[in-house]
Amino acid sequence: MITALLGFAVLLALCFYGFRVGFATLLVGFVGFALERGWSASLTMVAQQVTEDAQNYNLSVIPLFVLMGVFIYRSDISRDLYDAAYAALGKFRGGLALATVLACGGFSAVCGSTLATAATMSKVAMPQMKAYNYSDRLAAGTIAAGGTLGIMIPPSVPLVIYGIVAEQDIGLLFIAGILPGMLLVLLFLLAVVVMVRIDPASAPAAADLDQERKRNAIRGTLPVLILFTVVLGGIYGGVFTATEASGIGAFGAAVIAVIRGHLRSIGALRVCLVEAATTTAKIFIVLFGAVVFTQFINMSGMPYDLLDFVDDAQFSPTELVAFICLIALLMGMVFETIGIVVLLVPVFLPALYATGVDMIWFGIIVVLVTEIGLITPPIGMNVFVVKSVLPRVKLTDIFRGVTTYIVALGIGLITVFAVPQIATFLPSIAR
Amino acid sequence: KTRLIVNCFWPPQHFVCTKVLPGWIEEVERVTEGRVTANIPPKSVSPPPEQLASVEKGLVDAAVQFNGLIGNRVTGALTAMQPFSGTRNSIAMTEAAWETNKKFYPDEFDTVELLAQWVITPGDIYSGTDTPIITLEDFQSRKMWALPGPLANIAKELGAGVVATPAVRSNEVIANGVVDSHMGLNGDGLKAFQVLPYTKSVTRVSRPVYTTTFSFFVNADKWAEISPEDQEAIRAISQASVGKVAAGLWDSVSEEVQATFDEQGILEHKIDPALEAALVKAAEPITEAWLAKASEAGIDGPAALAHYRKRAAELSE
Amino acid sequence: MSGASENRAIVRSSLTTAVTILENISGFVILIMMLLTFIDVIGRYLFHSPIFGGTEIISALLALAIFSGLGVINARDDHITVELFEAPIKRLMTPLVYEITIQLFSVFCMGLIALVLFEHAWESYTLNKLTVVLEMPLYYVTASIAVFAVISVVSQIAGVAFKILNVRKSAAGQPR
Ligand code: NA
Ligand code: NA
Repeated sequence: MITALLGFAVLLALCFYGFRVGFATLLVGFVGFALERGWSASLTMVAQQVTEDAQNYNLSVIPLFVLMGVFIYRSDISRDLYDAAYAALGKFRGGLALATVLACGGFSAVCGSTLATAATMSKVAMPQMKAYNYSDRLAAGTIAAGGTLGIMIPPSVPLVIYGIVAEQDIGLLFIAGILPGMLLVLLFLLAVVVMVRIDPASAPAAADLDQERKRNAIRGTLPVLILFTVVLGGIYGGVFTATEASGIGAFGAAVIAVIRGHLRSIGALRVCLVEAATTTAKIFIVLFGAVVFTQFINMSGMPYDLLDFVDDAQFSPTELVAFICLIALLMGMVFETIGIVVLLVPVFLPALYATGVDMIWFGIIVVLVTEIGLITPPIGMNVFVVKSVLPRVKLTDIFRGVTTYIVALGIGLITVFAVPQIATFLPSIAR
Repeated sequence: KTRLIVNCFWPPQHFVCTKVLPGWIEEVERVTEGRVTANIPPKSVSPPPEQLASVEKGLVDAAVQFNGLIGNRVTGALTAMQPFSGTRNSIAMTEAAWETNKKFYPDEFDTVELLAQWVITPGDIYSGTDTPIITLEDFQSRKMWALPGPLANIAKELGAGVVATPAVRSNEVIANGVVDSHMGLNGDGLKAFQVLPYTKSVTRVSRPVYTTTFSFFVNADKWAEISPEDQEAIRAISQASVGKVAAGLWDSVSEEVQATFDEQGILEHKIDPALEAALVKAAEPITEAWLAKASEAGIDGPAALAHYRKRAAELSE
Repeated sequence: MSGASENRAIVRSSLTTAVTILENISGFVILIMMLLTFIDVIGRYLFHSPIFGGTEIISALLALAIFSGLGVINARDDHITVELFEAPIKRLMTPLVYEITIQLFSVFCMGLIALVLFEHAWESYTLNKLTVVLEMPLYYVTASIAVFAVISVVSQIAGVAFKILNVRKSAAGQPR
């Protein structure tokens, strides 16, 4: 237990200094394991973990779903999504912000990453909201928060990684994310309503779209709808596996991009492919570090100590999960989603199994908690992404703007906590 | 006092991790009067193909290896895995295999201390649709998940559309309609990988097509730390407390699962002799290749295989 | 002075070439992955013939995509970082020293990865390990990713050299 805690402390210090997270985690894991089992054993362990993970078939959904998102981004559909959402909600006060939430939800349905969702919507929604004098706080806050939908509404990279770590069916996890994702969209819409009610000046009235843009928007949204239906419907109906769905999704997205005239040269295709490859490498280096570190924790005996602790404390499943959520919230201040999932979940696996927690539900809960971490200070990855796309907007304004959404996420968390069926119902009737 | 780290690559809830290996640890502590103890890490330290390497390199001190994944290192251990050699009695097969090991290739594992070997319940051929698999034509018309190795090669040879993945990934393939039939899972596999809902009928072959075997061993340096008396004591209890117990558990779980076939509506069909003959024929090159490898390794393959088959049959009666 | 800028130009151009090659490889691998998964599903439903060992090929491609992509992000130092205390730490030491510690750490870790992968590849070669389904030599994949890892370390070092030259250039250009 003490060596493991020491390991976590050293890891934190190295990350705070500014060493690259993936490398720091890998090195601490390597040294820690070596202290338990010897240097040569530790070298072999690193080799095994890295090659095993790099060749894990289930993880091949990551580059393919990333690629699907890149193609969709390329095909400029996000603008149509936004217009369509506006056509539906524009007549309400704060219509542009409401439309942003809805469009984020729509984009999330074809994109597995929260950062990509936030970055895309920053480019699409911000100019509109600025044009009608929306406050920075409301506009940028909505985009940063809306981006977090990317990992709850399937496809979702963190859910894939959770599935691998906890040995759960990735397809079922995706299906489990649908209702909680929709719940979050609703809560975010509600958050906009509340914010606009409190501060009407933050969202002046905006003009309606002209008829032609409305028609274009609806025509543009259709492909996204079809793609989402094919990908999720295929998984849901047992037509293909999550990995196959990702291949079909990426291919379909490429076709859409070609049809819409945005993918008609080798150069354009190359840009998309390379972006998917580098994003994948970036995710995997963190993953490599985490699996190596996990083996050190595994050898340290900490998971058993925690199991004993949970035994002694006589935690009920709910209390255990609440306890884990608390730790995840703390970790969420600093780490991003993947790091939390890979570092935290294995530590508690024996205790979770022993108390009989529903692991599909738990996966949804963990991802929900890490979503909060993405927009809370000091490190809120999504806030930083929005800031980097919109350098003119003040960081403090974005952090203030997401406060209401943090409350909304909190309510969402409590709801899914209290009513697990929101996560488990659809998987229970699938296939 | 020696403390061993024993790896278990099955999911933590599987009976190898919860019963077999903990049972061995208890026995070892008992016969060595606590001079040798052991524990199992909460999660597998290395992937299934790397168990032998992990014990050699000292990542862990003891582990179980599926012999099919180290066929390039050990040839004798594959004797009991030759197609159409097994019976439906795992304890008998295990005893026969251990006897054959002692008689024909006792020093085959030369980098680690081999303590036990066992054979598990053979897998069957299952249809996931209402149409059973009875004839060769039925077989050829199927998209089939098959255990990688001999079974996948046999199925491919006969002309089925084969999807082969490690058994732990069978659920994904079978449950998602990637295939409409599967071959190689025994009762434990059906239950553990949750594929019963996608299974409609089983095809009974007169002799099991294929059986898998496992080896359990300890790191050589760690073994040398243990006094000769304690080594002897551990050797004396290992095959019974690991091999025999594991084989028995596999059979009893399989029986339990078989017993639910009626209520699950899973029908049983007898195989068409022509299909069985075709399977036997497709398996011949596999055994021929193994015999060639065995003679290369200085093992009397024909004699070993004949001995194993004879003893397995005798002991199963 | 001209020697330094010449060095910079050489580092820059070799780095650009290496990165372009790695980008092409990684992009190509991802394209094949996509097409293969797509064709595998289509083949299964329309022609009743899944690709034998398809999942094994895709797994191997995943490893190749990751390690060729890794070369690109290493050269650009495009890694996930916690930038919480970067500013105060930078005030404690010169930016150059800070940058060097960070980059050396990354190079060391990447070197470690390359080393273990080479050892692993060598082992799979000498023991003639085979893949489970296709029974193809395992070292095809392990050796390829080991080679990519080494290229990735080299491009990382080139990237660092380039960065340091830049830091020194901008430091020299600043009035004291
Ligand atoms: Na998503
Ligand atoms: Na945070």
